[in-house]
Amino acid sequence: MLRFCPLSVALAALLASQPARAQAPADPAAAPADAPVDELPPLVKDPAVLEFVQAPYPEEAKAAGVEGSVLLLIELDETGAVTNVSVLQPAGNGFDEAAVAAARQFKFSPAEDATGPVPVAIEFAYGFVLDAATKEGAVPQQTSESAETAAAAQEAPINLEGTVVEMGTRRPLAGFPVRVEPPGGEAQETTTDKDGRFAFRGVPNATVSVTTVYPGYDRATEAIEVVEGQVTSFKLWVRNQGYRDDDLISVYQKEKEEVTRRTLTVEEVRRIPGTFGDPVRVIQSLPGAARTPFGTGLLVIRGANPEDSAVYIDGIRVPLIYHLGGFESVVSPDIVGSVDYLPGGYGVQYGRSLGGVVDVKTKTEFPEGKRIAWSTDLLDSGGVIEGTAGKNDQVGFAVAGRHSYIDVFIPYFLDDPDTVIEPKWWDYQLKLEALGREEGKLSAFVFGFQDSLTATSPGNQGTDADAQGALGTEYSTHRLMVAWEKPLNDQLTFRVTPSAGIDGADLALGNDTRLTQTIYLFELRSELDWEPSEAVAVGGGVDFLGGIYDFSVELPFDPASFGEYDPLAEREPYTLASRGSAWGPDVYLDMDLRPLKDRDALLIKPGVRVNYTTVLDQVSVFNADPRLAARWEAIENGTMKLGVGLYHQPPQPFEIYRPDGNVELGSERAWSGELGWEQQITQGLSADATVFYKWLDQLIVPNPDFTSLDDPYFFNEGQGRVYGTEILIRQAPVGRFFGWISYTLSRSERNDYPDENGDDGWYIYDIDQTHILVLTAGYKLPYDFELSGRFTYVTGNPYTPYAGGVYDIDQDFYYGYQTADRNSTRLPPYIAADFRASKLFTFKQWQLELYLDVLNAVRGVNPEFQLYNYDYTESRYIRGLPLIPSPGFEAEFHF
Amino acid sequence: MRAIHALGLLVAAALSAACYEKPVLSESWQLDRLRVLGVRSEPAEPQPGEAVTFSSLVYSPDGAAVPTIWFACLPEAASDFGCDIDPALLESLEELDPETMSPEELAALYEQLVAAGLIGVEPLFPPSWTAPETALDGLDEIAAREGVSALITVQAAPEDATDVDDVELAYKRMPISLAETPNHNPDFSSWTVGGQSFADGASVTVGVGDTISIAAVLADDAVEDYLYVNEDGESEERTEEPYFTWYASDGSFDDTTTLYPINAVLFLAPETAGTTTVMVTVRDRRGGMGWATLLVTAQ
Repeated sequence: MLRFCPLSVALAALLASQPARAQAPADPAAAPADAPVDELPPLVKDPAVLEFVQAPYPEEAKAAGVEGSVLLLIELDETGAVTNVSVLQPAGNGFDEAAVAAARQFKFSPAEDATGPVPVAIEFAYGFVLDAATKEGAVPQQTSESAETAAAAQEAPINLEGTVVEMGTRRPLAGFPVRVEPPGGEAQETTTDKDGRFAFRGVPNATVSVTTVYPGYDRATEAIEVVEGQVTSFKLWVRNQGYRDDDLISVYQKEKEEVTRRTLTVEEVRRIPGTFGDPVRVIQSLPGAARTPFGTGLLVIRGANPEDSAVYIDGIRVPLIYHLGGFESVVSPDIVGSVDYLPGGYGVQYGRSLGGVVDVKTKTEFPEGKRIAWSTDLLDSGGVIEGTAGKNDQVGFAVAGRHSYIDVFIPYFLDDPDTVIEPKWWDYQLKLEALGREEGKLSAFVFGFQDSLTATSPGNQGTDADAQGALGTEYSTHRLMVAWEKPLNDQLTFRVTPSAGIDGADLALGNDTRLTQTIYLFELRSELDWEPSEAVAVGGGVDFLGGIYDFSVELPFDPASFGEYDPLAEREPYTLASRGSAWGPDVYLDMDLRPLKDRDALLIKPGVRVNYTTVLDQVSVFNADPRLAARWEAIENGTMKLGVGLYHQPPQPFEIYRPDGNVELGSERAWSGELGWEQQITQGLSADATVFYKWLDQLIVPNPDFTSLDDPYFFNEGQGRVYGTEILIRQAPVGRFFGWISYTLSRSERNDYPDENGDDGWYIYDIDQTHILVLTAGYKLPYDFELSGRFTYVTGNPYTPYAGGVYDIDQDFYYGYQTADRNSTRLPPYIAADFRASKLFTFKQWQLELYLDVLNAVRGVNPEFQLYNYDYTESRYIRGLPLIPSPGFEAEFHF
Repeated sequence: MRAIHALGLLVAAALSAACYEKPVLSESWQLDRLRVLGVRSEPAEPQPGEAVTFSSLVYSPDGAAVPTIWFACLPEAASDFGCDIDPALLESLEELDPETMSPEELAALYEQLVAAGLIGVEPLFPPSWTAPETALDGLDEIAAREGVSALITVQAAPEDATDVDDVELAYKRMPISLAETPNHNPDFSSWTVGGQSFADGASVTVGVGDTISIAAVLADDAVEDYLYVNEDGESEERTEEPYFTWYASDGSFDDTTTLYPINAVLFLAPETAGTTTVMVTVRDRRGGMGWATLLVTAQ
């Protein structure tokens, strides 16, 4: 598979008209510090130019005094030979053809990763720049007098020095040509060193012009006065023409071990409208993810319940990924390195879930020096401080936090001034990473968040005295993780990630109903990888999850009366407090088999995960999940992928708890299979199609005959089936354009009581959406303007209409009744278009990005629910979110 | 974790309620269709074997008397929506043609309906029932004081009803017990409008668009103290906590339910001249009910 080198290792060329010349390659140390996480093994040796070919300056452009820079994509094979050259960003005026013709004749040394030489592709900016004399129409003539002057200058002391610095980021720029031109004197030229420094000797005492020109950067010229007997020092500030390009490279990266893993780069997804700049929310624009009401961000993946999909942060499971309302994830975007989205067919490293997996990876690379960023939008404000510290910058760090204030704005949307709805959240993160340790990797991550919601409507709290008071909920999570990876020898690598934390939840419904829960959690993931040969790799691990639950329930009446509820019965307050534990050490083992000579051509990955879980000391489940994944590069740039496997999900604690401990519940189970094809059409354009089928059984469903607490609450009786196809056509963000077409055609069905209802019991599941189409596109305009848009079409959710209502006089309430088949009717489709515009301002010391996110700029009826009147004789739709303009800014300082 | 996801939906619902225009659906306080607003038994809490009579508060937009059919049953013969009546029997009622049936056939059908729980067909047969002697069988002394709730189902339909949508179906529970302090229905004594007292059913005149204070005054003994034997066998003295539900055929209220002792609402009279029916019901949460009617003429 072809991979890409970061832009910084691409050789930059600078050509002057007479003569054309090449610049030295930029120093790799100048690579952007916040480059995305590379899922492939890193290159141990970058390709280097062995033979550079000068391109002739197009005569027409020279005559017109036009300069230009062509962004090329140069593909190299394992030997370093150029196999293809294409233009990513044309310059016109004959520059493109000249640059391509020259680049085809380049020769490189091979790039290498740990396995040896590998094919790569590099972005290469080929610049065409006129020197000042040519620009002024004069043809420079080097006389014998000037030659003597130049020779004398080389003997003189340094009297003009400086540093070429990138505006906004204050990053020193290596390999930049610097030219000093005294009035009427001989020009001198040099190149910045790895620290961006340059120096000149014997510059005449006068006001001189200092210029640097580099592809991808604006020409920078300063008039500097050189004073006799002094060394004049200054900074030459250069403006980058594309600050955000550097982070887009890893869009090409693909993890081979998973059948369907979609790794996203942070900068790419932050540009998508509707995500509020949150990379985790982009999952909802990818195949397999269903749309959820009001954009709440619940994870409904391949027809599975939200609670059936698992969320991890750096491989450690967390209870949820979004703040209240689903507008933002619980981890600051500045901490996120990448997001892995696995809708199905994932390996044995993940378990205890039937649905998809989202694994948020925190960043592992940090900017040189320090960076401070602050962002503010309609929802919240937050900031991050990151950089390196310690002796020799041995420690990378990032500290981030956010606090919401959406509760301040909500009253302006309310008709009733007495109604109070106050959603609030805050979160914090601290990441520490030991850098440059040859003996292994060591990092620590601390994060936490709290969400709360208070809702009261004094004017309409119902007639139940026990229900008076506010609705309030609050939940929080705090985690400490440490990750340590150590290569034991050439073949063995050991990893361990212990984690501890606390989860809390508090729910109050009125003054007399309250549920509180505290969970003290410990998780340990430990893995050992053994790679005895290129053809075989074996990995094994333990995924231990344990917790102690403290929970209490306060109710205004005894739940024993649930079965035969009588609103006239006298109520006795009921309190239950209990403590229990749940723990389970899952063990997994898998292999990477590469049987073909071309090791990348075929990968077969068998594995098994053994799950043992004890919940609340009442139920123990033991399951073994065999899984198999395979990838076969059947044709050039075309890969077939296959995944089959068994998945188990233990019961939830609330499904198990009984005062008498008499529970017989097992894990829910899913057989999952998928077959797909990936095709790299061009370097930027790819297509991915997957068909999948999932059979669910042993699903936990409520006991339909429940009448008293002596009856079982739940059974492992339900069945389900989910099938469909997912298509992703994607133009990677190379050059100015990026975008993708995501389409899912699927069906999700359930049969809750097959023993009772047989095949007649099958119904379309509540979250089934037949068609999910998302079109996303973005375009970079000149001057750091950027536009992006997203169009969404989703089939409406199914529902069961009510036929009428019957009045319960004692409760003063109508109960609706249904005569139609379950979920026999659908809501109209959801149609919406979102837009985003942004502009980046770059100053010497800092940068400012202003943006405007417009949600639902165009929308259809977009019903989310069918709302009935009090007696179920009338209905209307509750529509989705209206047009929401969300302006915001992000300021970034480097020092 | 499922609970947390449920909370997410709750939040979504809260946001939806907060951020969108009010629904243009009819609301329960609006008297714009046939409604069964209340049912009460007399006595409110009979003992087994005690005879009971029933009355109802039915609103009809045209003011016409609406026929009602009454059924009663013990909890074991009830479903989710009141008494569980044999569908075949209901179908036979739909096909009933008294003109083609002999008196014997009608009598047999009536016996069949009584056996199914029929206790009245208004206006011909006012509803009445004898609380079954066996209602408390199997209960110990404490449970018998708490009693059981019989179900009373009322079906109201205009004479010209042709569709199931024309039928209003309601049900109510009636405690049968050996309580030391059996419940009594709460009654209203009068209305107070603008500081003046009016009898039930009175008519008052206000200006169009006026906002007036309307209070429904409970009788002195309407709010009762009673004894309750808790699960530990201890007697507790409790006081009823009634609440009021307000209805109007036009105009609007500031509140449509109020909790005792708040027995008054602000009523915004219609902007056009005419007579509005204002009704209030009171529930004592023990099965007792009362109601009153006021006619407000705006001019």
